[in-house]
Amino acid sequence: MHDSHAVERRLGIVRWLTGHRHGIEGYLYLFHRISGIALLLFLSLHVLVTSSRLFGEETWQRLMSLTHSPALKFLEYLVFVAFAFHATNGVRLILIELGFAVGKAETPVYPYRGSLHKQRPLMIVLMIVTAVLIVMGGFDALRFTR
Amino acid sequence: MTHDIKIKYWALNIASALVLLVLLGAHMGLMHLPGVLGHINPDWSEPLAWAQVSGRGSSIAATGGYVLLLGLALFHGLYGLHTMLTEFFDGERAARRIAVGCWITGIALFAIGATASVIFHMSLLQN
Repeated sequence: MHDSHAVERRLGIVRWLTGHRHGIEGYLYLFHRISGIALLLFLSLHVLVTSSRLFGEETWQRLMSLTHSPALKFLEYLVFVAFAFHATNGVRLILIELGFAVGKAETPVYPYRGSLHKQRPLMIVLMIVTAVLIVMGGFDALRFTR
Repeated sequence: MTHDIKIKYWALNIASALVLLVLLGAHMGLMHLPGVLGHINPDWSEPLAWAQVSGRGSSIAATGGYVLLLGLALFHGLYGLHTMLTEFFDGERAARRIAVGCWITGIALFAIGATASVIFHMSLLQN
């Protein structure tokens, strides 16, 4: 029986790094995975750090004072960037996955019309939303580092 | 893992993503855009101040929201990690180990985060 994962396993991480061959969506695929892993790592750390509120105000204030350093502010901003991208690209993936942004069935002749006329504009709009969110987050991060 | 279970996990993953979009979107907005949201409500301009943290902690809705958010975020994140790892490691045995590892990690982090949220909420109510 054909195993759809066999090729993916054989290529491993090389498949991620060569995703750009499939156009800009290939890069989005790569960044979606990287941002997802980064967010999961952050979540694990976040759960442990925020649990410190159990030890009272003093402990909380001491921990939060550490986050005022420019380096940590920048890392916090990167978390926001990862979230903004992962969320908006996730909306795109869900719309495609559920069939809302696929287009009508037709003969698969390259360049695929469904992809060009539906998926590409959707991707552009959502990446503009991502950029707006990233800029907004950047202004906020700069406000606190001043 | 049977095909039916895989489909159920996939559906749960999509559903969790949609709920996370709202819950995590609100959480990230409040925590990372206080300068913007502070113009709408001044209380949102200092989300990490102890008064704000304890204010949210004393609310049952916020506490419940945090627990739900944590559970969904862990499920969604670990489902994604599980998918990536099973692409790299072949075989039924590896798949089972990956699944068990993801479940243990998820349950442990959920237990820590949810317990901290509930105890914090209860301690604030007692004071």
